[in-house]
Formats: sequence, structure tokens, C-alpha cells
Amino acid sequence: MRWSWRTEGPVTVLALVAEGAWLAVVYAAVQVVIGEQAPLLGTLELAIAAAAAALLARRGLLDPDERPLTFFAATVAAGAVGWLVSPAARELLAAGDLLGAIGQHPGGWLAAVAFLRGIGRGFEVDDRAASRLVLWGTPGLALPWVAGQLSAQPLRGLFVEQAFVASLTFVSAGFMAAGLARLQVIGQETGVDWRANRSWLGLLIGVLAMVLAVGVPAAYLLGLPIDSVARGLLGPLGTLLGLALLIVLLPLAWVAGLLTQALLGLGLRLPAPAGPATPGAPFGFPETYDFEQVRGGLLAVGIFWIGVLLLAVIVARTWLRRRARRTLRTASEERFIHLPETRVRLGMPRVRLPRLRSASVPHDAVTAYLAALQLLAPSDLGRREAESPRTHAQRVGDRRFSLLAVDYALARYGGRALTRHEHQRALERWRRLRARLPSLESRDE
Amino acid sequence: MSAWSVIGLGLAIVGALLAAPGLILLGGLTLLSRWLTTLWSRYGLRAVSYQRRLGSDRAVWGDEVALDVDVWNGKLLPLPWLLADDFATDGLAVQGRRLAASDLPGRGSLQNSWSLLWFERVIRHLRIEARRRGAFSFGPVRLTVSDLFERGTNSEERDLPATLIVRPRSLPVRSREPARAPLGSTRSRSSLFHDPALFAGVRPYAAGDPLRQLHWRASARLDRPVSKRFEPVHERQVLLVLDLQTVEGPHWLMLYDDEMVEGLCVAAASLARRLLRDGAACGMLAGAQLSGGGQWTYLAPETSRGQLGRIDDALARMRPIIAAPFAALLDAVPRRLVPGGTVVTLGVRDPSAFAGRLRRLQQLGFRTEHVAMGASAQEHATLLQKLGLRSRVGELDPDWRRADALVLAD
Repeated sequence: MRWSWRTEGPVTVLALVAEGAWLAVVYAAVQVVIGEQAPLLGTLELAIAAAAAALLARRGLLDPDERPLTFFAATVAAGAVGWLVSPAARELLAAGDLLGAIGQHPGGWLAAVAFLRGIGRGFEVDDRAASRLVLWGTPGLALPWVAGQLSAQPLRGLFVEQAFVASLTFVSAGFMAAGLARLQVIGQETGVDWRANRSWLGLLIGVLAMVLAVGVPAAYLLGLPIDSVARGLLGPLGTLLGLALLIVLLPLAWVAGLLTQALLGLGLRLPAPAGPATPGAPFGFPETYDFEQVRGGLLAVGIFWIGVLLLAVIVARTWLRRRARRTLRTASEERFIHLPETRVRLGMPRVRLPRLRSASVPHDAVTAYLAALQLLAPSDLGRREAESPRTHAQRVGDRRFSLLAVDYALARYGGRALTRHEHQRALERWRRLRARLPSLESRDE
Repeated sequence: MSAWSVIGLGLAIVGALLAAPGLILLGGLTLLSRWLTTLWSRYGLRAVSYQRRLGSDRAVWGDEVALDVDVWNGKLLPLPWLLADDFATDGLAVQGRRLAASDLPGRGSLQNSWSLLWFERVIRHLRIEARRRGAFSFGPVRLTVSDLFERGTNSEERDLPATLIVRPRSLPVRSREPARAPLGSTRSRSSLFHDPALFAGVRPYAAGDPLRQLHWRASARLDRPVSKRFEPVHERQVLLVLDLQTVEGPHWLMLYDDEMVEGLCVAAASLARRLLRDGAACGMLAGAQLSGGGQWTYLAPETSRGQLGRIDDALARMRPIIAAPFAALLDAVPRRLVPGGTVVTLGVRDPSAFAGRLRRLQQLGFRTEHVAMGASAQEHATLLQKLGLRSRVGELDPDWRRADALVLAD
């Protein structure tokens, strides 16, 4: 697949930063433990070494399989450059003390390792490789951390600060690279460009939150200033921002250069100044001009900027129209944020006290039957909605309850007036039923 | 607990024991890395709703049916990748899409993928082109989410059953001889005898109506005299018997000519529509398997408004897999049609194999008429005519897709 800078560039850059950050921790440990010196190189320098290798491999200038000797030489050269960053090493080398010079900056040779690692990043970044880097690399930092913390002060403090920042940079850049590489793979599978996929914003926020969640308490434990967390976070972000600025500024600088050349070619240049340089003039202008002298130039500059502005407006309008057309073409999809409905009830909470319900005391045959129903209601013998009093009484299977049901039916449905004795008998039946209720329930079970 | 979690926890504990905050940091980062890499496969499918809405559950060949796919991520965790494999019967045509191969036999997968933010809802409007007759079933739906930092995925299947029935075209039926009725004899507008058990409504009173025929309650309600109306003793019943076997040979060979099958279905739908429009009670008998179950189809002759829809639905569901030989179907006709009814057979094969059955039906008092279709239609019709059986040629010119009418000729 063709390598595209727009889609794969950020992933590659982040992967290179992660490589550089990981090696920066190792480098710091080597420097403070073996070299017993303060670290001279950081994430940026090692990432640049890896990026140089990636670029050379990308351009086909470096091929370990086809031209192994060239590759070896380039790797040694990268290591040598890293080594010679140290002024002491350079001085000793100039003095002809090669062995002494090598001992001066041993960690610098890790630039060769960065160079080696960069070769693999010259091509498409595999999402699995990026995930592996961060998953294995994080616990893999334990060894240099342990080694570095064994060093004596003040080197230990220097190590902790550099390793802390580099570790955070490694985790944040590594996760972002892995995430973007995965989004790229998803895009290849589904035909969706990850740049149009807003989840990368979520990825960014998630990674930042995660690193912050660990970084802030860790900085407190390590006795480091909080700004070291920011430096760890901004490592990859700063790189990305710098990259974006570079992309914007380079063409602008190129256009400006072309314009300058063209204007100079047309003979547009300021005339000789009317007066000599004024001593103590603001901004230190060496010469002074009359307005008449610069009127033409100012007019030309004004017209030029008006032209630029018009051009920008035309470009923006064209772009907006195209975007609108594209939106119309994809109107087959509606996207919106739909928050779940939650009901917030304002008001004083109501305290529900348990109702103190007095047991209903029947006073005639009808109320005796209703009271009996109330007694049976909690159990399975309760009357069902579609049950008539008769069928219910049959189901209960108690003679007293059946007679209660008969009394109820006669009084309520038959319109018969029951005698006083009948009412009394009904009340007696209710009492006996109440006493026998447990046995009825157990029989039902 | 995974190996990574153990490593992370181990680093943190060792860091705490050795008073090395750097190791605690690394332990924490390892634990968080592991948590983050499997975050989506663990929680991604929670509160994800997927709905499929069909504009209609019925369509006629050539129609377009709206299909809305509605997906909602009802949680704070954004989903970088959500894939929905909506399984549907193979052959479903969705505008601008192709059904992907699936692991379910006879079914393809309508794949949709999204990237969803927190609480984001996406409604994708698709259109189904009813290019093929048939019953297209949908479901289940397999939703898959993928981790962002690893290739781990998690899937779940949800039952979302739905069916889209694509009915065959139905065309006007024309006769080469306009004086002749499309099929059988012309219908008599009035009937001599009525069946008093088959009440068919009321009509305004006409002079001479017997008093016992007056509908007194309706007359009182309407404040004008109305008479009861009854169905005729024998309504005109027509049973379409469809021979969907298009290749000569044993019926179980499962060989068929797709174009001819479709042509027969279009012809059957067209004839049914015409017969019902003319007031006949039309039914259908066919020995082909139906999608969704069923070895053969029998729809009793009816004049009701829904009968045409039922016949069209049955034709839509028919698959060109013959479950019963045509001769056996004809043998079953006397049990399913009142004597005097008309049996209209429709097929493309040589009718000599079942001419004897048609003759027997005639002897039993049924009217029979064969509509021969296909390349040898004229030859087949002539053969039956020579045998003394009524037969006509049905033509869809130039083919069932572009024909503007079903033309019947002697």
C-alpha cells in the first residue's frame, strides 16, 4: 500500500517519539550509573536519530538487506554522533585519547540503537507492533528505573526527572501511535479515513486523562514539580503541533520567498533614504524616509494584501461550497447527540410512614365474609379477580367459608335480609376461620 | 487476572516495598495500559442500541423500500469502531451496497460500521431495491466492537426478525380475441338461485321482492325499505393450479429455469388479479416449497378483498423447489373445488404427461383450461386442443420484466 504522509505521518512521528522516549530512559540510566554524568541527550535527540533512519529507509537510501555495509556504517555514524555530543569526548578525541573519549559519554552510543529502531518505522506502522511497543515497553522500563535509582545524589535526582518525563512521553506517544495505527487499520477495513473519524479526539483525551491520573500522584511521590507531568504530556503533543506548524509555515515561507524574488526582479525596492540614521530612534531604524518616498511602496503592499485577502475569501468560499455539496451527497446519514432521558424531580422528599391498619372487625354476615377474604388475601387462597364467591369458596374447601360466601351472595346479590341469628352465626364462622387459617394455608401448600 | 495485570501489580508492590516511586509509577502505568487496551471489548457493547426500520413489509417487484438503520451509543465511552452484521436472505439488493458473505447458510450480511461519540445517534438511510421476487428475512444482527489499542473484539447477537415480501409483477390480461373472456365463460351478472344461508348484505327494495326478503331492522334503521341479498348458489370458482417445474424430468431434480419460473409467477399474479376483478372466487394450488416453511400452497377460492394479497404473498414466497409432482396436485383438485368450478392450469412443460388428469377432471364436472407458456407454448396448446381440452397460449412479450400485458391467445 502506498505510504501517505497525511494519513500515516502522524502515526510514524508518534511512534518515533515513543522510541526516542523509551531509549531516553535507558540512556539516562546508563549515563548516571556507568558514565556517572548528567544526561546530555533527551527524547528529542534520540527521536531525531530514529527519524533520520526512518527517512533514509523510506527514501531507499538505506537498505539493510541490499546494502548491509552501508547500513552498518550509517548506524555506527549515528552512534558516533550521539557519543560526540559530549564536549569532553570531543576534546579527548581531538587530543588522540580514543579510549578515554569513549568512556566519557557511553550512553551516546544509544543513538545507534535509536537509529536501528528507526529503520522499522520508515514503512507502514503496524498497529500490533505499536501496541506491543507500549505494552511490553512500559514494564520494560522497570530495569533502567531500578538501575537509575541506585545512583548517588545529585545524579539520582537528575535521572528521576528525566526518566519521569520520558516515561510519561513514552506512554502517551506510544498509546496515541497505537490508537491512530489501529484507526488506520479500521479505516482500511471499513473504508473510513481516520482523520474523518472523530474518535481520535476521544483517544487523545483518554490518553491524556490516563497519563494525568498516574503522572500527578507519581510526581508527588517522586518529589518532582507538576510541570514535569506537563512536559511528559506535551512531548508528543508539542511534536505534533510543531509538525503541523511546519506543514503550514514551510509553504508560506516558500511563497513569500518567491514573491520577494519576483518583486525584486520587477525593481520594486525602497529608494535611498531622505535623511541619515537618527541616533536613538525607536526600534533602531538606521535611516529615515519621507512619506512621499514610501507612499508608492505602501500602496503596493496594501494592494498586495487586499489581493491576498480576496484570494483567501475566494478559496474559503469554494471550500465551503464543496463541503456543503459533499454534505448534501452524504445526506443519507443523520448524526446527532441524543442524551438519555432522565427525570429530575424537584421537591421535598415524601416520607412514607407505614400505615397502621387496624384489623377490620366485622359486624354482620357481609362484613364477616369481606373480613374473611382479607384474611385469605396474603395466601394463595385469596380470591382471584375472575373468581365468583362460589368458585372461590369451592377452591378454599372450607365449609364455614362456603356458608359465609352463601350469606354474602344472599345479602348482596339476592337482596335477602338476613336474620340476627344468621349474622351472629356468620360472625362466629369468621372467628373460627381466623383461628383455623394457618391449617388452611398449610393444607394449600 | 491477566498476566499484564499481575506484572503491573507486582511492580507496584515491589516499588512500595523498596520505596521506589518509579516502580510504582511503572506498575500503575502497566495496570492502566492493560485496562485501557481491553476497555472497549469489555464495555463497548453496553447501552448500544441497534434498530432496523423497513419502510414497508410488502413491495412489488421493481419498487424501492426505505431501510433505516438506527444505532445509538448510550454511554460516555466513545466507540472507535462498531460493526453491525445484519444478516439477510441472499439476493437482497441494497442501493450502493453489496451483501457480504456470512457464516450463516443462505444468508448474506449487510455490513455497516460507525465511529460513535458519547451518546451519539446515527440514522443511516438506505434503500432496498426489490429486484427479485421472494421473501427476504432479516436478522439476527451481530454487533462487534473493537478495542482501540489492540485487535481484541467483542460481539453479541441480537434477534431482530423482520421480513420483506417482494411480490411478483402483475400485469393487465389481454385476449387476442376481445370477444372472448380471458378465461372460461363470461360471467353471468345475475344468478337464478340464491343460497339463503350466504347472506351478502342489503340492497334497496325493488318492486316484486317477496316480503320475507325484506330486512326489517335495516329498513327501520335506514328509514327506507331494503331487501336482503344472498350469494348465488354456485359462485364462479376458479382454481389456479401452478406447475412451477420448468425443466422436463423427475420433479425432485431441483433443476429450474429462473426466467421461466419468474414468468409463471407474473402470469399467475396477473390472472388472479384479473379473475378477482371480474368477480370470480379465485384460489391457488401449487406444489413448490415456500420460504419460511411449507411444502405446497393451497388458497381456497374466495372473492374477499384480501385474496389477491394472499395469492401475491404466496407467489412471493414460492421457491423453485418442487415438493410434489404436478399430476399429484391435479389429483387433489376434486377435494378442494366445488363441482362446476374452473381449473386453470399454468405451466411451461409438455402437457401430455398430465392431459389424462385434465380429462378426468372434465369428466368429474370441472371446467379445465390450460395456459401454456414458454418457448413451446403454441405447440403445447395445440396438443391439448387436439385432445379436446381447452388450452390457450400466454405470452409475456418481450419478457416478464418488460412486458406490458399478459396476452392470451388460442
